[in-house]
Amino acid sequence: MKMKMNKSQSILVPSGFGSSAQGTEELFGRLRAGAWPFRKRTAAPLRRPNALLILLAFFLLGQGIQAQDTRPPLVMFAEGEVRFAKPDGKSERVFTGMYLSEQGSIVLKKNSRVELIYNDKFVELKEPGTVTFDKIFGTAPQRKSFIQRFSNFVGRGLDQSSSARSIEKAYMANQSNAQGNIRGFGDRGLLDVFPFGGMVSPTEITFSWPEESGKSSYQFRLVDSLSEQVVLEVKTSRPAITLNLEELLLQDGNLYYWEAGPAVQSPATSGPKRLSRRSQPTTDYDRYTFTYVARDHAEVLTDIRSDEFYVKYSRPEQQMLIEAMLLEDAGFLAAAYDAYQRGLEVAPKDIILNRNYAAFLGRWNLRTQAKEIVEMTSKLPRE
Amino acid sequence: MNNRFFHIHGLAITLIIFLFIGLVKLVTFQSHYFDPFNNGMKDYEVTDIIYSQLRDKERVKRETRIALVHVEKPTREELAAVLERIAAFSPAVIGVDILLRGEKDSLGDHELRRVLDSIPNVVLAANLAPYVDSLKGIPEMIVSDSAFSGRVTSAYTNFLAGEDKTVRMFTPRLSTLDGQTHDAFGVALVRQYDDASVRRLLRRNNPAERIDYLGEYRSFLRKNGSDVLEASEEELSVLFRDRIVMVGFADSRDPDAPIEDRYFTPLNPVYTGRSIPDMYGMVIHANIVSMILDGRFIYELPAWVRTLLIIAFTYFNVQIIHRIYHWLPDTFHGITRIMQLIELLIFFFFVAFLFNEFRIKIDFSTGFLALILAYDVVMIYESLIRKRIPFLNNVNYEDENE
Repeated sequence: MKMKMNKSQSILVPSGFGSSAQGTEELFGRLRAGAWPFRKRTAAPLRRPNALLILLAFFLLGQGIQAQDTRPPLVMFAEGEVRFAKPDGKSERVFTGMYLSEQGSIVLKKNSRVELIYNDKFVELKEPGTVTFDKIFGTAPQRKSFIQRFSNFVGRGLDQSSSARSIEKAYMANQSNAQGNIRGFGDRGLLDVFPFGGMVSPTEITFSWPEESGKSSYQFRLVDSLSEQVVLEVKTSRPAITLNLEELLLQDGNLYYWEAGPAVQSPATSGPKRLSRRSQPTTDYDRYTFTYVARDHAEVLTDIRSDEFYVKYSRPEQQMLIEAMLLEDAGFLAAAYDAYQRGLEVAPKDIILNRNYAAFLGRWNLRTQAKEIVEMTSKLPRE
Repeated sequence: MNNRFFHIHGLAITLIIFLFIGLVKLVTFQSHYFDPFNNGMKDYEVTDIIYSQLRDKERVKRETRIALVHVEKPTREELAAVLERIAAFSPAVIGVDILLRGEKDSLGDHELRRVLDSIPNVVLAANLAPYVDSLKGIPEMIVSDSAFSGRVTSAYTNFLAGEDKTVRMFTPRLSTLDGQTHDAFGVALVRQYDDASVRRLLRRNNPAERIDYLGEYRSFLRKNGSDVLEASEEELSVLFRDRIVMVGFADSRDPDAPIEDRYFTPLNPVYTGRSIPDMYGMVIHANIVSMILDGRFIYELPAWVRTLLIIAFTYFNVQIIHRIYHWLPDTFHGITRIMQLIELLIFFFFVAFLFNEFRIKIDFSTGFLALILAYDVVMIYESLIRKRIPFLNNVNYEDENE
């Protein structure tokens, strides 16, 4: 039988959590045991006498349950002398389009103005002085809200992976997040491609791309997207190459792209090709962009790894799902992908993990893989 | 009780209600004495309340694929400098929401022409000529001076609204009487950014599309034109690279900000009656671009389905109200008014729910009006009309009940 979850389930899943440290075990237990019978009870809400009231309740709750944008704070507008002071004492100039980390302060000089959006909240600052992020966007998230956030994430993942159609919807809904890395590509363009966008830390990472039959030599190039300066160009006998990015002296915050494919006599040397103009006939390889950040993505996980919820009440595959959520939210897509892989190594048939992995792939334009997983999980026995 | 007679009376009452509504519409459309009704109510839809009132104004959705560059009546030379600077940072496409009519200073014109010729992906604003009744069409699209528009794409910036009306719709493509087919400004921009999105829009084959507004200027990345000339390369690269960049009047909160190219939208906090236009044309275009890229289209019921629904809804209510009139004459007034209020509330939320959650828009205003009129028309019918029509008057409810 195919598993389907409708919106009502994704709303109801989080209820009852957050008030205690029972944590993921109870959450997953209820999702496994409770969620499916619950679906049965709500399979045809419109036929029930109070259907309209349920619909009204959904509408009234609608504002609260809409998925919140959890990307880092973004500067929508800045003028004058605005600086961002980091916790380590360093500061940098703030400008439109710049993403800020969630810890630090905004420093404004006279006649300056800045507008920020974080968690869908819009803030305009125009008074001179220093304001911390906690003050701008409210206090730091509490443990209770983290559990709520996680259960929302799991519920949303199940919702987005309930069918092939919902995978498509998840992809469409995430289009505005798709900055550079996947825009303009059909699903095929990203199959077997890694890393496929987001932010990448100074770690060892394996770049891989689709194998082409009969080809024994491939060319790989890593290029600074701004200057078009080639950082690395190598030939390899297989469609993958492992690099330690720390050794390549990449610039923090810079956008890079990589391209690879069967080696040809005259390597691609033509001018820049925008992803958005891919329809133009070209012999160049497809390009995949990523932002290099000089900090370890593990920083994102520091707090949770010492949290009782994670340490005491979560199984290894559940811990990996938590990590995947935090990494994806922070923009570390490759690291999130790895977290899912590690979780699936431990529990390859875990429905919740598989379904959330499928939703992740769907969101980031790996829809064919995502649909295969959805199909596979529909055949898995329920625990 | 003979239900057949109730159906006959019910049909007669329903017919009277719709005749009355038709008459009211006929009068209000043609009489200037009803201007407040025309300008106040015609520009108001239930779904506007969702945009203007039910929307959490603290929550702002961000659109990161578009960057707006705010310029206030720049000279040709200034515009050239801004465009050249933007183009240096590889935007996916640049849209200039300024109509460049005629020649001005020769130096500035020359500079602008040179810059426009050197940028491959520019869309220039154009205007559709006024509709000509006798020709039953729009003769042509008025483009910028040929010195500027010669080598770039021109696209019309008109919306489906007059200067004093609310902009809820736009026409994606339009053919003029000179045989040319033109893209709307937003469509032309998306065409150069992600053609698949435009194909998806055009597959819907709708001559006009409702705009699903993402938000006002706050939802978009913005920079002042003068700052573009002074900003560092790093800043401009972050802001412009691979983005759709639109140049024009983005926003001003000055009390004397120009009213030109400023429109009412459903996001206007004052959703009915007179108020100040709330959005500049370029921000509306940015909303259109965002909608096309996301495929966030608004679906509407076909007119015949809507008409059937409204007739069925009215007839059903007339049946209930008419029965209450005969069965509970003492409490008719109170019960009917409470029923109308509850129904209006439920339907309002239902229409709002469908729009908010599924982007399905149902224009049920005629149904609402019919519901409100049903009470009075039942009373008028029973006390005035029925008695004067022998066929209807022969049906005696008391006799039927015996």
